[in-house]
Amino acid sequence: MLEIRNVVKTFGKNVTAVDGVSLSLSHGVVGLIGHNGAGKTTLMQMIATLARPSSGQILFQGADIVKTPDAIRRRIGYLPQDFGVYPNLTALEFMQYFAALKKLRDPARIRQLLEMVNLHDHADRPASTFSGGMRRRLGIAQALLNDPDILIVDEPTAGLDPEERLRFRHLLSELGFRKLVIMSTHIVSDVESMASQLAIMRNGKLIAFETPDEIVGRARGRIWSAQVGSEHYDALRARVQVLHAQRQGGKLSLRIAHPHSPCEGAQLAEPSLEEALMEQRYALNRAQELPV
Amino acid sequence: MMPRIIAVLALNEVRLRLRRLGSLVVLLAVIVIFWTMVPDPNTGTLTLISIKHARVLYTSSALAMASAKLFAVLFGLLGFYLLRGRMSEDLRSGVGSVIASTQAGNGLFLFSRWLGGVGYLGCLAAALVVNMLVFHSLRGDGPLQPLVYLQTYCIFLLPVIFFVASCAVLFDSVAPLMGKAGDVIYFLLWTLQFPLLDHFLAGSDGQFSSWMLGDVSAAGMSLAMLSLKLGLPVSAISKGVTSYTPHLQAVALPSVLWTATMVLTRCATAGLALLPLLPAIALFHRFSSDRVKAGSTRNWRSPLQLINRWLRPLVRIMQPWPKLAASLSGIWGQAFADVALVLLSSPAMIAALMAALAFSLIVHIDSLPAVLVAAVAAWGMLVSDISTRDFQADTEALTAAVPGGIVQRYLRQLLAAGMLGLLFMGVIALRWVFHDPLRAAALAVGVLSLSAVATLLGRCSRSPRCFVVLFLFWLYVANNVPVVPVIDVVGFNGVANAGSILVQLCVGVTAILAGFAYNQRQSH
Repeated sequence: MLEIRNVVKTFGKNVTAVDGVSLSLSHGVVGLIGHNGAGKTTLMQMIATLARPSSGQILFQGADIVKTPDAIRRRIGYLPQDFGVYPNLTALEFMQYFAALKKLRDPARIRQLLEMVNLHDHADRPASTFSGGMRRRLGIAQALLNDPDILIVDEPTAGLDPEERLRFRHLLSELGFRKLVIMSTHIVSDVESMASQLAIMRNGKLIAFETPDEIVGRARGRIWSAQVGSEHYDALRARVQVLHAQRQGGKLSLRIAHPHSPCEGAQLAEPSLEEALMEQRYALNRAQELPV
Repeated sequence: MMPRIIAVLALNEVRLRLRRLGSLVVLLAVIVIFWTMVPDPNTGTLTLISIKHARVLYTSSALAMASAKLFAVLFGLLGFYLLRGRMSEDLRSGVGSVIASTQAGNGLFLFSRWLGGVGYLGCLAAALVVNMLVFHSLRGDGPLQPLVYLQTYCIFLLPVIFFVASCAVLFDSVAPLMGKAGDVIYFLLWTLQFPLLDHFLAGSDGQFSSWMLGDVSAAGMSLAMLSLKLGLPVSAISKGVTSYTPHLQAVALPSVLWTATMVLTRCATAGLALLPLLPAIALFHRFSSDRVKAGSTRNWRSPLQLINRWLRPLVRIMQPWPKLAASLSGIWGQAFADVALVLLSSPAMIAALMAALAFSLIVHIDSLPAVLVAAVAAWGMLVSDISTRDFQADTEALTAAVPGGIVQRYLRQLLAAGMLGLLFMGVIALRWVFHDPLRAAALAVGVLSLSAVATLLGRCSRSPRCFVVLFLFWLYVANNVPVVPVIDVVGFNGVANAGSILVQLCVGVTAILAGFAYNQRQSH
């Protein structure tokens, strides 16, 4: 459905935000993961036709979206990271505005979407009085107005409470059954439960494009759990990558990423996706001799 | 399908703008200024139109034409600033990137924005027509003829509204014109049009001139129209606030003043007023991060940023200021910190301040009013940002959490505005203290009053534009009508008197109290 071919995006002479990314995407939820400044938002902006690639191609159903942006604009829904609302419009008026921009004339669709995101009881309230979670839900409702084939959501769960976050995950997960959902996030647990594939970016480059199981599988045998006395902790931390430390009685319970047993009594543990990703990042840092 | 979509988009634009507090504030301010400015001939020797020094009766046609001309000039300025800024709002809220990702074409989107702007200004014009009907029933001569008002307002105002809406769309669509530099450029263009038209229309004496096509506000054409109807040279007619000789017989204008040629000319002007939409569509940034997000590689595009970059070394002069702020306790330290922030973030204004100080010290005392006009203009633009900066930069919560909370933030911003006023104009006030104490008092009270209004409007509307609009309009009117004491707010016309200073003091104190109450309510 969507093919990204060797896309590069530079700002000025010195900044390369996206560096030769190639991807081929069909249905499902794709989690776009990477540290701040990795190029996730820039890549999403290029897919959403907000920015032009400096070189390379992005093809939607075979058509180059730079040459024919309307082809993809008709079929995408986009929810940016910083999504605000107009201060003086009600939720319903806000949706009507975007329905008109998307050239839709189905009032029932607006009501249906407001119901889907559980905002139908607040349709006549000014959207500026909504909580962060309600605004996000309104944002996803507007993104779905045109029943898009591709849904692009940038950090959709940032700032949401756990209940809202769960509801959001469920919603995106369901959408991923029929559509391509591209979702960037820092919160690994968000993609752990619903992403069919993960695209991991680092310094503008795509360093991995795998399923969560593959990433976890590769980390097996490298994640350890151990209990150490607190007096030994600093020395251990100087030698190995501690992922997690929790005081339990007089000892510290640790999770450690290391190629072999990091200390006496350490036992191999089943890695979570977050631990697998951190392990991968540490391994890359070691390889590039970069500070963590 | 397409007309319906455009109608929905335009209707939302109208809704968004009409529901802003700033719209109501500006409308009320315009009505108050109108009632203050337009003289009542029964109580003085000033009138709106005089012909060969004889008063023109306030009939429907005379009042409609004079007021429509005034409002046309006013819409040309205020209308632009009222409409402007929607794209910046879209960018800040992130809605812009959603709009850009929809299939709405640039033409459709910008046309709907234009139409929304026209609808909004049309609503304001309708409110002004109602205002005029009330004015006529209280101060008018002869029967009230609503149709004459409607017809005159349509002919006068539609081309202006079209033009202003087109310019607002253009200035919002082209990245380098989006910021304050665009505001200033438009103001300069707007003020330049009058001397240019005077120059090109001079000598036409009522005859049609193709230059009239460019006379968007119909300032020149209305004179030509009267001259044609009355068979008099243009020089015999005075419009605006003008004096008359009471013992001369008052003149009544005919009900119908327009000729077919002039109506057609206005229609053609309305058509030409759409021209700025063409470059707007061609150059529209479409919220692309390549073109409108702040970035070091694109700073050269904004002239103001370029000047600020050149003048960056001047920041060194201000470096002791934050240390001084830190050494002072309480609200004074905070106010000093705000002044430091304002000047450090705008080196161009440090240069303007230095120039104002230098000229205030060295020029002859008779030339001080000219220096004051420039100083007050720079200061007004600067203080418009003080109370809105936190909102624009998303730091409202941060600055509300410092000691003193929301109420003290308001007070320190007010103090900072006043302190900047003293920096820019204090030397002039000091020089006037000895030569013309009344002027010095007018300047001091004017700074207080303008600071209070700027801070109040900024806090309430969360946008600098509401104050900028009124400030620039006042500046223009005060420069062009130098005989009305109450609008000589800071004393550069030399006509302020004890009464007008008292009025300014009341305005200032009321604004301070209103701002205090508003912020106290916010803090609860």
